[in-house]
Amino acid sequence: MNLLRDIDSPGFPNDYLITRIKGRRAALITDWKAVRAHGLAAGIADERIWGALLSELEWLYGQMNRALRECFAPVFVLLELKTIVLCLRNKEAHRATEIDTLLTHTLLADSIRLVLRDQPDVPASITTLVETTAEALPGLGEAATAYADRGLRGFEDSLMRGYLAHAATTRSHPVIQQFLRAFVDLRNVMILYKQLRWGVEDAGAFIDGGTFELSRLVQLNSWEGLAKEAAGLRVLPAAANQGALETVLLTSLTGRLRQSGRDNLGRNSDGVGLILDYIWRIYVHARNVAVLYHAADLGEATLERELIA
Amino acid sequence: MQTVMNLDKVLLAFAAALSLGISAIATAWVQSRIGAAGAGALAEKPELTATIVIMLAIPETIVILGFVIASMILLGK
Amino acid sequence: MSKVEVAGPREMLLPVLETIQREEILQIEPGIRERIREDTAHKLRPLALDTQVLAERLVLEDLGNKIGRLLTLLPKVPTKESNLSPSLAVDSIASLVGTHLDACKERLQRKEALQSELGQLQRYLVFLGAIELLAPKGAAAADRELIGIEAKDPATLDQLAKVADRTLPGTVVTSAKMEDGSYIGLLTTEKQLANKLRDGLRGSQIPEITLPSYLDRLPLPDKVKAARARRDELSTQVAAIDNELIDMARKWRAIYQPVQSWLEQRLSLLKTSASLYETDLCFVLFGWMPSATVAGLRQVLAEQHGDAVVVEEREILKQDLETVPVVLRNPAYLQPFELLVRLLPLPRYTSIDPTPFVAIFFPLFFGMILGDIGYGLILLLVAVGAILFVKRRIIRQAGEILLVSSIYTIVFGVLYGECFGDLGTRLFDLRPFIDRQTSLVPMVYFALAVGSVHVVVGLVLGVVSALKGRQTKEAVYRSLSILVVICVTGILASYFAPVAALVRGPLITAVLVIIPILIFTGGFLAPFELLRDFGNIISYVRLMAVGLASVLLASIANRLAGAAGSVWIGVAVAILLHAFNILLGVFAPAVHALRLHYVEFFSKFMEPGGKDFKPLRLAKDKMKEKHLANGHES
Repeated sequence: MNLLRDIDSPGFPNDYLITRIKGRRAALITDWKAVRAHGLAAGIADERIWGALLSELEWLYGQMNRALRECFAPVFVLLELKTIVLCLRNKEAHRATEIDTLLTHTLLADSIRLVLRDQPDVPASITTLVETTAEALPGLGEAATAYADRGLRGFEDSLMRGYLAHAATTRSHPVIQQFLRAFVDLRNVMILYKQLRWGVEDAGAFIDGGTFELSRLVQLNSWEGLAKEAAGLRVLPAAANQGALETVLLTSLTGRLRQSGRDNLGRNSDGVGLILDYIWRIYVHARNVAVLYHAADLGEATLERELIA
Repeated sequence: MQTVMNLDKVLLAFAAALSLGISAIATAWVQSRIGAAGAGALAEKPELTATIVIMLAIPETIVILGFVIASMILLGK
Repeated sequence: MSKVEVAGPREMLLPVLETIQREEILQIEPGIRERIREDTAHKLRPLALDTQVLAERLVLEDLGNKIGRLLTLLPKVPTKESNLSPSLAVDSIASLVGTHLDACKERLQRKEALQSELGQLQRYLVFLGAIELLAPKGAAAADRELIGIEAKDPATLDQLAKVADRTLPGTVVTSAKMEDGSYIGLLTTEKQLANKLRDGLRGSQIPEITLPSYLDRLPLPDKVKAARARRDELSTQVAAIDNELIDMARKWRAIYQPVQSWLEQRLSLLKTSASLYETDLCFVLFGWMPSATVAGLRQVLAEQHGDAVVVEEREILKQDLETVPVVLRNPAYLQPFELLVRLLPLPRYTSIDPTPFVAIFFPLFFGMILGDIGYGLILLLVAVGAILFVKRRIIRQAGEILLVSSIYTIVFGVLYGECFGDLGTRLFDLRPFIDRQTSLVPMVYFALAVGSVHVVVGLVLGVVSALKGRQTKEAVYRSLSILVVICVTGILASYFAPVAALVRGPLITAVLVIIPILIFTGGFLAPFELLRDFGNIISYVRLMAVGLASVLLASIANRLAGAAGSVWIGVAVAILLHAFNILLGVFAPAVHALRLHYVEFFSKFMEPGGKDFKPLRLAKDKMKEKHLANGHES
């Protein structure tokens, strides 16, 4: 079973898509300082921000040819897991219109969409989802159990972990695989950070599939180890809190993706790196706009920390 | 029987055909990529039409060079 | 270009802007402010509009939107110029536009509804016509019932026929193909079985054709008649609405259009205020204008607004050079060729305007490639037609380029002795000076010679522009590479022209002497740069190769025509193939000649990155042009 929507059109050649992406990339905000100085455009709200992100992803997916669609499926699914969780959360709060908005642009397959739209409540949705898609979506089974124990947060966490571990270890395009592994690393560093912070040790919390051996992660039981080995940073960010660390890590991941997007010779001439970079850029863009929208009055220092350059 | 094969001539003709044919294929390949990219650029910026038409003609140098080589092979002694 | 600063009392801002807009010679550039003297910079701040002006802007924008929408809805009809003054009419128009928009929308909705019913009816009519053909006649029809169904695929109908035959004996399935490619089937069955059959159809999701209620009860022939009557009625209604809309358009377009262009103008004026600055009492604007026009503007401003408004010229700084807008300024007979230069990014302010060279070489290359008296004459006619009868400036300019190119085509046609390929030779015994089809090698040399000249001209321009930019070392390097190019060309030529063999020795010595100096001025890669120049020259072989293809195609057209047997078929084939060849023959030489300029020629001396000069101007001309273009379409 396919997790993503089936599209009839055969899509377009890679070169076509790459040029279009290069054209569109220019429209994204890069000078966040200027935006901070002048403020965002009027009429922005959370739904708009996510809607814009999703519709851009939908556009991208529609333009891709079959080979690219297949190649990028793990990335899209990774992003769409968030949609599933958001829908369930809205279902919990009985906000049907929000669910509809979320589902208009989503790339999820129709079967999943119908479940998310039509099932009356969260447990029923999860049960039906497990019945229909458990095979195709690794981690869903455990997530359902986690929901019974810890509610939606547990569900989200478990689903993400299950899927990431599966996706990072499944064979895919080298650039995509690299990205997924880096993503797993990022999550693992965050987990390690939390464990150090709260002084707990739980080897089972780490996600398999990253570039670090799990056993090695468990041994890195100090702040210096975290900083030097895992995060690849020389010093911990000055205000060493969770948000700042995450921003630093995300920024470094952004930099790495941009590098792979720029390198389009030889083996990478198929443009996968560039497209991945674009997906990540619009994701980061949406995240930054959201941060600016919510934290506009939190002061310069906070914003400086939170924005991914 | 007058159909004595002149192997030299055949080889020369074959070489000329190869030099023109392969360079034509190369041009076609490059043009297909430029065409696809050009269509993409057009979709984003329609004002580039003229530039893209010119861009499309640029790789034709390859086939012109192939033609030059081919005629050198055929006409040169 | 001159960098100017215009300053005056704040209350005179809008009138002064209006004057500047009317003159159409000044481009406002807010960025310049960053580069003026430090001591005054801090007193300037971006101009804030007062509330009254802001309110005006909002009202006008809203009105502009409404009028724009109305104008897109109204059918396009040619209108007369109205001499109503838009600025006075705006208020009354503002109260009218809402009603007009509503009326127009309402009509269009009605029309759409009618048209969709009409479309439906059309299908019924086809269906009824098919029934008339398929249905059993006379007494047999009495106790039978007809059920019409629609299917996209004839296989469905076959299937249905089989099933019906098995389960409901006495049912006859007949089918007919409709115009749109779908099929209709007619099930003829006994009255008592009809309902059972209907249920079955519903179950298998085959849509039954249901007629509208007013047709339901009538007997078949009357059904057709009633449907036709209804169709005619609908058509008249649609036509009536169309007429109403056209009347409305005739009456109001002439009024709305000038108002719309006035609005655009006014709005563009109000919007420019965002790029102005103010001090406590004055407004200040910075901008670029052609140096020759500064005195004129100063005079006009003084006449209209007294000596309170000051125009000052400022020195162009080095960091300004990036942003100086560029105007291509050429004599009238060269201006059309600016079109070809503008296809690429403009040359930088300090670089050389290549238009004159394009004007010389482009038609030459075009003619060299196409070179055919017949094709040239046809293109000449097309060009003259475009110049005389088309009002759009850009097409007229293209026509002028084509005119010059077609003359060269005729000249080269005479040289090559070609008129519609070899037709001229066959019919009028036209004798070529050079026969392109047989003398390949001389043609290649000719093309290469032209290429060498073109590239060397480009290189010389490169030296000039390096000198202009005071890059002496670069200029020396470029001159040396010209020398090498000329020497090497000479050496190569000496192998083909026996007389020149004498100079081979000195030329080789010269090259050996120059190359070390070249490396000294241009770095170790300099000799490899030279290779690029030679590659460029070889690229000019296309002048001959593309032309050869075109001439062969033309003579194939003639040969095929000759082989056709019948005279008329032969003539038709010839016309068709020659027409095709002319299309190719315009496109290919144009693209290749352009490409030789853009890639081989411009790269030698031109630095891109110039900004187009966009002075604040009245929107009217653009509107008029658009309006005319629309008039031609409708």
